[in-house]
Amino acid sequence: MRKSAREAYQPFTLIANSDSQIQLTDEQKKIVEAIKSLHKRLQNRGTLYYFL
Amino acid sequence: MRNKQITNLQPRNALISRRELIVSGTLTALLCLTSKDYPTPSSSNFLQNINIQSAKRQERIRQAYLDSVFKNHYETGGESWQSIEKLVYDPDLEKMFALGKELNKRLVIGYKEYFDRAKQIIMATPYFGNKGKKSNVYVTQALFEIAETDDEVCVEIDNESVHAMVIEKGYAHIPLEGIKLNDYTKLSSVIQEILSFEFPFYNIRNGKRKVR
Repeated sequence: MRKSAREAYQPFTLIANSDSQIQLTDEQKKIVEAIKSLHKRLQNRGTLYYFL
Repeated sequence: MRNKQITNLQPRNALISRRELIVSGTLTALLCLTSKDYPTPSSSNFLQNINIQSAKRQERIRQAYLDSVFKNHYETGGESWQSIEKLVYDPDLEKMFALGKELNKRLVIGYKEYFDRAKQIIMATPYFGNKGKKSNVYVTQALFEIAETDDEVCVEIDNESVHAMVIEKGYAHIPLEGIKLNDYTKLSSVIQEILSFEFPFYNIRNGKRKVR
């Protein structure tokens, strides 16, 4: 299905780059960690560029 | 006597008809073999001649073209390609919706809304409650308006293969701890979409797929 990759990734960029002090639940913390991990993997694979 | 003459004529006429048929058949076969642009399933080199350019011009050979691309690139496509059962040419996704309606009406209502909003669908790998199974990938006529080379078609298949992999195996080509991809929440759907783009991007970046 075609959808803008950048559009889909935008909220993830915000999360991955944020250093928020907002109180998160354990479940939310897990999600944030997973998104940061995804961000790092895309960076390592050289594909992050396509999403930004 | 009169009756006998008629009886004798019948087989002779029939013989002439068969000869005409044979000549006509030979001419057709020769035309098929010499026409690279217009292959037909009756020519022996049909699958060799079939390519994206001929498939763009002739709708009737598009399914054969998709079969050929899938077969030729299956081995090198990667693990995710193995989760695809078949590419199905479905110009307006009517077959896909019909099947979905038959299998699960509730799921299809959501898809209908999505597809009504998105006008430029090239391929789709629907989840119709088929976890653990390979998927059919439905290919619309938009692919043949956009793609100019086999690699450009493969890039689209790369994208869909990730969705098929998640449906069959529950994970994508990049494993992510802490997030289930096949629970079809809003979050997992967006991550699945991102990963489905990542795979073709990776292949383009590494020179495996050459695109304009």
